[in-house]
Amino acid sequence: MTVGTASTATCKFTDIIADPLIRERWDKVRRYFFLRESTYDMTNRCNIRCEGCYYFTGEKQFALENRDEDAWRQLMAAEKERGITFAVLAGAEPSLVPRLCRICSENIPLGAIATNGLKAIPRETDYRIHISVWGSDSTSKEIRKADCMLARQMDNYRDDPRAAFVYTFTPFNIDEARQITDTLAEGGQQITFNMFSAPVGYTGPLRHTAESLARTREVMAGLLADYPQTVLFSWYNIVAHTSDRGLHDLFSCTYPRMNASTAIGLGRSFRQYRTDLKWDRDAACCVPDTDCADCRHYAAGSAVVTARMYRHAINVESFAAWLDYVDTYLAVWVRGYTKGANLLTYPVAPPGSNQPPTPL
Amino acid sequence: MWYFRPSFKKITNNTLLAHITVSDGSPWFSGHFPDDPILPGIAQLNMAAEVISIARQENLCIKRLSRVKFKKRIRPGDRLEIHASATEANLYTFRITSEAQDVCSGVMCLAATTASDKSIMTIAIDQTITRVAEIIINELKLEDVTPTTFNPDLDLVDEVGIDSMDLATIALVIRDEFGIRIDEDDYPTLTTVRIIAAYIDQRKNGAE
Ligand code: SF4
Ligand code: SF4
Repeated sequence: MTVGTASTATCKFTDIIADPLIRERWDKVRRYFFLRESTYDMTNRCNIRCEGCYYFTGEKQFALENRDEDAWRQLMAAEKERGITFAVLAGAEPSLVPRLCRICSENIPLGAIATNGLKAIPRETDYRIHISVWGSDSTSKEIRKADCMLARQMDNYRDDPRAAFVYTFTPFNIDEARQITDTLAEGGQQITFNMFSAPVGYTGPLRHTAESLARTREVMAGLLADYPQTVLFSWYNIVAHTSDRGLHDLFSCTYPRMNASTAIGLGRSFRQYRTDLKWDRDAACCVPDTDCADCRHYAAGSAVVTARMYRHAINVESFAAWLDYVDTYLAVWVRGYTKGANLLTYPVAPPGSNQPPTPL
Repeated sequence: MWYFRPSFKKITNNTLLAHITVSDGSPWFSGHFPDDPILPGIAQLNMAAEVISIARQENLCIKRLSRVKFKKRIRPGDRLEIHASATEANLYTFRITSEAQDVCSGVMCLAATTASDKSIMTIAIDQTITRVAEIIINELKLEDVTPTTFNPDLDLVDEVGIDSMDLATIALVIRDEFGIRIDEDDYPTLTTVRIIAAYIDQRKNGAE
């Protein structure tokens, strides 16, 4: 498979977008530049307990739970006022507080919910729903201590256009991804890929190694090629998320936790609210308590890679890679957005990296 | 500009301290003198006046000078500090230093420029301001404003509502048109049209 090395020569942006395919995709994605996200922990409870769970790490798990619906309504109104246009409802398990989820979606119409999928979230909350899958049912049983996860998840979200299954690759479930993808394809569902990213201080076996990253890369590439209708991913997603270097090292994370500037962008607007409706700038990112050096998380990439448009606008190939990434991001996160065919069918190196990505 | 963008370390109502670096590529040096480049005194005075203009966000020109002394030569690449303090409205005592040594000092009286006394440099900056305003209006599809009515001192984030992706798009159009690179790390500093225009001007004049 060909590997493109990002050229250092800089083309004019007008020449890059003169290509009709690029132009069409650029016009499609730029309509969503108004999205400004913040993240909300909805409850400190979960109906299962997974090994390596990032929620039950660090301080945030101890925040008191605010279940006062008026307080949530006020928070959401204030968030909207502050310019937030996209709400990500996360930790621990939002499906346990469906009324609070509903309040969020009534105030901020665009958003996504991260759930383990074991309890259906009512349809009135019209957010994208990310259902986490950590491997085959036997692996899930071992790591998440839950039985028949995939069947239960699929039952809960059958024919539900809100659903996107998120398969988290660990070093131990790489080869199980094909079976899961196949099952989801048969069920008419969509899947995207996440990478286990170690929480701060985690020393367990789920942390990726160079070898597991390389194997993941191969499997992702195969699935992307074989299930183009089911897999919401691009070749550049593979490059960005399976590199030996983490996302921060590759792209400079723009979340407040790693970005001191409050002038513009995520550093200015992003907040990560805990269940007591407080937030702490020093800890604010989409996956707080994740070790930045090991961060390859899909939610992190969705902000960090996406924000780096300027550095990708150096030639048609790099910009096409970035557009594929953003098109994937929007398809995964925004209800009603339909992913186009990937512009690139091969990986290119991130701008400024001296080495091409490892061949697939 | 023929020197690096000033960075203001301390600005109060009456005093300012700016750090700047004189560009190697400054056209002042080519003729002054071909084998022995020295920054002319008039350029030093102009630099002090411009720094005050930028800090006050007004177009100012020198009306009167007194007690001006030149004590040290300025060479290409020299790093300078410009100290200025207003003793009364538009009257400034100023001092340029380099490596803790005095380079030049004096008193200057400034006045707002009028159309007839604008320098070529000011006219060029005004043109850049208008063009940057036009780019922003086009890219953000702003209504009810034209390049000439756009207030160049509006805060683009707080008052116009642009975000980082808008700024990246604007930066790409500027890159195409002016042939300059805008560092992503500089985005937070590009807060007004006037500041963007000054940034473009510096980059165009080789202060990379
Ligand atoms: S389902 Fe999610 S929140 Fe619950 S324990 Fe597992 S990883 Fe943590
Ligand atoms: S964990 Fe990831 S998203 Fe969070 S601050 Fe670190 S690099 Fe950024």
